[in-house]
Amino acid sequence: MTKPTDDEIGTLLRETFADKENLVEHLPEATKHRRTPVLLAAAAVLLILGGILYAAGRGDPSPPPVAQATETVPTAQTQSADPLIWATGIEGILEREPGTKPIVLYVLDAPHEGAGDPTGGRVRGTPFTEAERVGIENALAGVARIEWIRTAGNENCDVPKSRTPIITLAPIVHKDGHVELGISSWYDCLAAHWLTFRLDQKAGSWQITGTVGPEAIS
Amino acid sequence: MTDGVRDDVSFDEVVASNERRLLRLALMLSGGVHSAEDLVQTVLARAHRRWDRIGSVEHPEAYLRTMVLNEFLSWRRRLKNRELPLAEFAETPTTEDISGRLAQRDAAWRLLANLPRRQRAVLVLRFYEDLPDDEIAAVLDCSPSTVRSNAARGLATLREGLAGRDEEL
Repeated sequence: MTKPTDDEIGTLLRETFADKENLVEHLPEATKHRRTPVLLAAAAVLLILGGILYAAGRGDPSPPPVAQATETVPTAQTQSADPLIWATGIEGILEREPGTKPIVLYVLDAPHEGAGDPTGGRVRGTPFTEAERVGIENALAGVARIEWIRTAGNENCDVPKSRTPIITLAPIVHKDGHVELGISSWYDCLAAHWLTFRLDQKAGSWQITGTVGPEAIS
Repeated sequence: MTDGVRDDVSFDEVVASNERRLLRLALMLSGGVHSAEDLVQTVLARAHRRWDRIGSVEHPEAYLRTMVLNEFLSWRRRLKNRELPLAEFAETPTTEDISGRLAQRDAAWRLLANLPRRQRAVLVLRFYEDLPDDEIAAVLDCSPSTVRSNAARGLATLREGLAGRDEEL
């Protein structure tokens, strides 16, 4: 095995740095960063202090009800089932692809109207919030690692046969008793798949129960 | 600029136009988004306190870049203890489904994380910021020959690591 030259390593480093750049796009603006966590932390401290003072005031020997109080405060991640629905859709479309499952997924960082429509006309929506991204990532832990990308562009066209799909999610459409989710996948700049899943809530989780409208593969 | 006299720029303006660039540089240096974020936050907080002076220099954005570099060079030991470098790659135990080139990039990224901080800084400035060696020397406050020797050592380490990895596969 010949060792790479300095020029070859330099080229590889340039590609590597370019490849990693988009990781920064996941971050909120630094100047606004951590206000929410700081506020949540402050609220948690107040809650704990309040619990302690309440218990002390009552002369109640039992511990302050801190745990209960924190459990009942919904966080940004638990207020919505949307991340679980998006993650279930991603799992669903991966299961429909033949071959070995990818370990990395490029997922567009905003829902796109018409993502599941093979006739095109996708419209980029408001980017996923940090809580939504974390929720999707957590739900897919053990399935695949997600790299959020802004545009499909040529993300993996320069690495043929990478089997790293680009996934586009649509906004969730809430219907009477169920939801519908458009989604598409794109492998190696060639194989594409569009469809719209129907999901129903069963036993506390969202499950794909069918598809709605056309399903297209190219 | 007005009649050859430079107007001071506001902190907010400079941050708004350079924040992402600083974050990207910090990411390449530190190897992790959260470390990068901490690095830039620390630098911006410090810069804000001293903005009277920084805002009046010719290129405040270059000054901030140097601050990020210096912060990285002094922070690295603490970063190592606090954040597992490139922890996200622990989730990629195999590259069997990824093209060889993509796997090479991931390997290079991991190897970079293990380089001494000065070597990594030199490689980032040379191959990410595309700075010539004399400018790198000015930024790092060392001689061009020191830059070259750091680059040579860093590249040699990467070469050995990449060759060793290829032999294992």
